[in-house]
Amino acid sequence: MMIAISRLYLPFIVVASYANKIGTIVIFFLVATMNYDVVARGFFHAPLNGVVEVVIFSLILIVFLQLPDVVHHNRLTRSDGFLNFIYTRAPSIGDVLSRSINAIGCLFMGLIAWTMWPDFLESIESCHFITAPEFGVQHTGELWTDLKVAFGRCDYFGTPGIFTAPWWPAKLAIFFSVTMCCGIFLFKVMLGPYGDSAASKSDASIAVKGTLT
Amino acid sequence: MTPVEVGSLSVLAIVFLVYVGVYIPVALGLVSFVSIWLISGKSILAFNFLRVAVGDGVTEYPFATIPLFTVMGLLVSRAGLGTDIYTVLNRGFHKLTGGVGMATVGANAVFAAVTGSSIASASVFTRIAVPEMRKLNYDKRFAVGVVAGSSVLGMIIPPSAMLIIYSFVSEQSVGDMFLAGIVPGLILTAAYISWIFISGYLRPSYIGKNIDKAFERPLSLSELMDKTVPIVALIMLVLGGIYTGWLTPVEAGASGALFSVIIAVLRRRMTWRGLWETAIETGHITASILFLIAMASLYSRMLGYAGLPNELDAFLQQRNFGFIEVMIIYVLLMLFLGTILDTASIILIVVPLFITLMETMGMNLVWFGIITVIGAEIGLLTPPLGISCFVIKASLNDPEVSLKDVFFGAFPFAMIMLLVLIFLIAFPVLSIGILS
Repeated sequence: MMIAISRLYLPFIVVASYANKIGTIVIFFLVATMNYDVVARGFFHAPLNGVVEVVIFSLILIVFLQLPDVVHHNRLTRSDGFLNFIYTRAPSIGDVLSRSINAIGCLFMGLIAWTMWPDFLESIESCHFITAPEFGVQHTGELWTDLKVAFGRCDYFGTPGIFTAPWWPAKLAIFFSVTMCCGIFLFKVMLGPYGDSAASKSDASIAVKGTLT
Repeated sequence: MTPVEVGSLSVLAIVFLVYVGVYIPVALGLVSFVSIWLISGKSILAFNFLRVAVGDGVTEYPFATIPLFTVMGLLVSRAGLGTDIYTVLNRGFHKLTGGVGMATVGANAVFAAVTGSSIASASVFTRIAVPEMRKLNYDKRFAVGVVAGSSVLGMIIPPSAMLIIYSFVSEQSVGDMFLAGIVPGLILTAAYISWIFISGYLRPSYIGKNIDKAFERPLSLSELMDKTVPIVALIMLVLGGIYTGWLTPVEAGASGALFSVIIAVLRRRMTWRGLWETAIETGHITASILFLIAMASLYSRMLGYAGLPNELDAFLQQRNFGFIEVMIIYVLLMLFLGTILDTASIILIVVPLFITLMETMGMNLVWFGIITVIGAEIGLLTPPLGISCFVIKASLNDPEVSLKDVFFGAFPFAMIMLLVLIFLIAFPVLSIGILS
C-alpha cells in the first residue's frame, strides 16, 4: 500500500523539481536584467523600460515555481525545536503531530487553490481566446492574428505604453503551485514526514532553521 | 466574541501553533483566515483577504532584495571571503590575550557587510575559528561563545534579511533600514571586542588557561591585497551605492551578486555546478521567505480589521504608560518570544501589533526597526531555541563541546547585546542620525 502511494508521489516530486529548475533560471534572468539596467542607465543613460514590472513578474514566478519543491524538501519555514524534542522522547506521538501539521498545510493550500482558481479563470477569460469579445476587434478565424489580438486584450499589469504583461500566466503559476503544494502535503500525511527518501531528516532539522536566520 | 477578542485569541493561537511546529506561513494564514471569517461572519470576505494576500503578496519591487542579497551572501561564502578577512585580522590581533576571539568578532562584522544571514556567519566561523582557538588552548565555552555572539552581527549590519523583513511589515524603505543598521552594528562589534579585551586583563581564565600564541608569518603585501580588496570593493559597491543613492537596494543586490560571481570565478572557487546549487538554494530561501511575508501581510490586515493595534494603543494610553514603560514591556515581550520563536516570526507577529502605538507616540519607525531586530536577535543566543547555537553545534562536529557549552559560552554575549539594546533605545540618534 505504502509503496503504491510512494509511486503516485513520484510524479509530483518530478514536476516540483522541474518547476524548481525553471524558477532557478528566472533568478539568473533577474540578476542579468537588473545588471543590464544598472549599466545601461548608469553609463549610457538608456534605462530598460519596464524593469520594475519585469522584477515583480519574476518574483511571482520564482516564489510560486519553487514553492512545491520547498514543501517537498520540508523547507517551508517553521520552528521545530518542540517537534524534534517530542520526536526524540516519543517518536509515535511526534509522528502523529507531524502528520497533523502536514494535514493542516494540505488544508490551507487547498483553501488557497480554491480561491485562486476563479481568479485565474477570470484573468484568462479577459483575453477572449475562444469566446467572442464584447467590443473591439472580433475574431477573424485566422489563428495567428486572433492569438496576437487576444494577447493584447488580456487583463494586464504594468503601465500602458511602457511595459505591460498579461496577468494570466502569473495566476496560472500561483494556482499550479498551491495545488501541487496541497498534493505534496497530502502525500506527506500518508507517507509520514520522512517517508520519502528525498527529504531526509537531517536536511529538515538543520536547513529549515537556516532559511531565515 | 468581539473583534478584539477574536484578534487577541488569534495572536495566542499563532504563537501556540508555531511553537508546536506548524509551518509559520500556514499558521499565520490559516488563523487569520478563520479570524476574519469569525469577525465578519461571512466567508466571502475571508476568501477575498486570502486571495489578495496570495495574489498580490509578493508583487512589490523591494522584495527582489531577498533573492539578490541571498545569492550574494551564498556566493561570497563560497568564494572564501569570510576566511580571508579572518586570516587578515588574526595577524593583527594575535599578540593580544583573546586575540583570535577579537579577530573572529572583527571578521564577522566585515563579513556581515556582505551577507544578510547569521547562519552563514555562524557556520563559516565555526569551521575556521573554533578549531584554531581549541588548538591554542582557548576555553571551549569561550571559543563557541564568541562565534555564536558575533554571528548575530550578520543580521544587524546591512545587508540583513531581518532588516529587509522589518522594512516590509512596517512599510519603511529598505535603504533607510540598511543605513540605520550600520552604527548599531559597529557599536555591538566594539562592545564585544572590548569585553574580550577587558576579560583578557581581569579574568584571563575565562578566555583560557595556558593559551599559546601561534606564530604567524606576516602577510606579504600582495597576499594582504588579495585577501582584502575584493571584500572592501564589494562593500563599497553595495553599501556605497545605496548610501550615495546611485543604486536602489534592489540594484545594489543585483550588482553585488554579479560582482560576487566574478570574484568566485576569478578565484577558481566556482564551477557551473556550484553556481547552479547556489541558485537552487537561493530559490528555496526566497520562496519560503516571500511566502511567509505574504502570509504575514494577511495577518497584519486581519489585526487591523479586528482593531487590535488601536485597542492596544488605547489600553496602554489609558494606563498612562510612558515611553519607558512601553519599551520595557516591548523588550520583555521580545525576550520571552525569543525563547520559543525564531527571529523572523517574532518580527512578523509583534511589529504589526505595536506599530500603530509607536506611530501615535511619535517614535521614528526606522529606529523602532533596529530595536526590534536586535531585541528579537537576542533569542538566537538563548535556550531553548537559540538557533545560532544549534547551527554551531551542528557544524562543529566536536563531541567534546556540548550544546550546553555553546549556550553557556553565548550567554555573556547575549547580555552585552541587551546592554547595547538599552543604549540604542536611550539614544535613537545612534540609529537614525546617519539618515539626516
